[in-house]
Amino acid sequence: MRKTLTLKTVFNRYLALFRMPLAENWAYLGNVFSSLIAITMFMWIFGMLWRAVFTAQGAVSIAGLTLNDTLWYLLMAETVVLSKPLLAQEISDSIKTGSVAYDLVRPYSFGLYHLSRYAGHVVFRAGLNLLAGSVVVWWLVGPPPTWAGIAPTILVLLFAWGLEFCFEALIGLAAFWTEDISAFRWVYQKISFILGGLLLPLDFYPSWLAGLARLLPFASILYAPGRLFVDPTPSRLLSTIALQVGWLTALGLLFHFLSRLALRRLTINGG
Amino acid sequence: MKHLRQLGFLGALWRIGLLSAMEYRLSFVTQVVGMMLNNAIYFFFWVLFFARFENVRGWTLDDMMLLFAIVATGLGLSLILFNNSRYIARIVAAGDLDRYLTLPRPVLPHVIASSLSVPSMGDFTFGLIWFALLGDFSPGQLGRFLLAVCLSACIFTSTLILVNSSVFWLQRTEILSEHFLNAMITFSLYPGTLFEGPARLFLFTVVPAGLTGALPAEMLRDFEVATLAWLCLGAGAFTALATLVFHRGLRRYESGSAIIARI
Repeated sequence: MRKTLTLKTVFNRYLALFRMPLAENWAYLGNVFSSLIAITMFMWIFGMLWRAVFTAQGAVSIAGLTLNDTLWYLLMAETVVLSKPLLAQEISDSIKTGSVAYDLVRPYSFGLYHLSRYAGHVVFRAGLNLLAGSVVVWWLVGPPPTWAGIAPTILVLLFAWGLEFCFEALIGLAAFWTEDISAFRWVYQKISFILGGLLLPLDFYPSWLAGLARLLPFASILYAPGRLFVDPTPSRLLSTIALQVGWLTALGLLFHFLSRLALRRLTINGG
Repeated sequence: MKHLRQLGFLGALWRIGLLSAMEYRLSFVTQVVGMMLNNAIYFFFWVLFFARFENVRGWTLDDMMLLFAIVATGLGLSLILFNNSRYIARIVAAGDLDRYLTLPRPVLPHVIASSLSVPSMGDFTFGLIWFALLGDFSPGQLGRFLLAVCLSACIFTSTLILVNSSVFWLQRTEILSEHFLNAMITFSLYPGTLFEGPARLFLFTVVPAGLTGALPAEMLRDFEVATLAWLCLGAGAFTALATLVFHRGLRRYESGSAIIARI
């Protein structure tokens, strides 16, 4: 007799997948804590770099951002990058080793399976990265410019990781067509760093480039959360979410289309 | 004679590594070109930075180009020739050192030269192109660049051996070793003048990125014998320490009972 799946059953199924990485990260806390070294190190370097720049310029604010704003902005952008798992590599490895066959016979959607696990990793790591990074930034330049930015930033961060998931999953899918995806990962990573404003807020870019970069999805991932955190105006929140939803729809559809195409190409030898 | 024979052995390992890397041509080319593109795009950050701020504590865009050229070529050279220096911790933890101990060759050079990093060829080529773009081809500058790259590669390799050798005492240090390499690369690629006091001391001792980036770049920007002497002293000291610590640690190694002969 065929059992009809209720929405609750389906939800619980993916909730279980979401919980799995939480348990994995909890079991290997040593790994997680050692990765906090990275965010501590980056914020420390940024502190020295931007203090030198602001001192040399003799300015309290540059392009509307103070030293305090700049470092809290950079913390948000770094958190987005350092909290994500290596999804593209994971998908690519599963295709190369053939273990993708085991993923496909399970009663999950290919995309939602990876999204649930991705979200579990992100939630765990982001919490710790934000905590460790905040301690360093607070010690370097004091508390955040405003506390009002916390709630809207969390919302925008969720959309940002959604977009990041789409890019990572699309790069992972490239393994269905190519031998190695490392080069795609490196190039995507660096383009998103530059056009997303990871190392330098877009406000410091030449106006033509800043205007163009703000419209691209990379800025919705890296620039938007940090900028909203230091300047949480309702108009900024609305325009950010509108842009993020637009890009999320486009990239989500592209992933859906390409994953169907890719899975049709799959040939599994042996058993 | 003995040293010549060992050099011949290393040459054979490098040749085999290169041939096996080139077996998958498309993957080889995409990794090399991809890494070059990756570095070029990353450098664009500094183009934007200096377009806005002109200089930071005396460093300009040209100085950053020189720094990138030295670090990329030095790191590339180190990981093309001795890629396993960064994987010693993993090899020891997995008990894979056994296969090197069964052969009548010096263990440390054999281990570290047994793998070649293809993306590092992209780093190496990128570094040479970046140096060429600076346009100073005087024999003196070329000689100093060559010297700076060799010393930087030597310090990258020896510090990686040193940190990875901690596995003999601490059991699992793969992640520590990975973070150490990331820290070395990250700190190497920032202007040396940013760091003062305890931070500077830290960058010349605990994570000696100052010796792989800032100081070699300083030697090319404004040559002084004292800078060269400090670099040689650093390279010599870290190489001696790495060799000593690896061999001391090797005495503590217990076989993984995985005797596999490689023909």
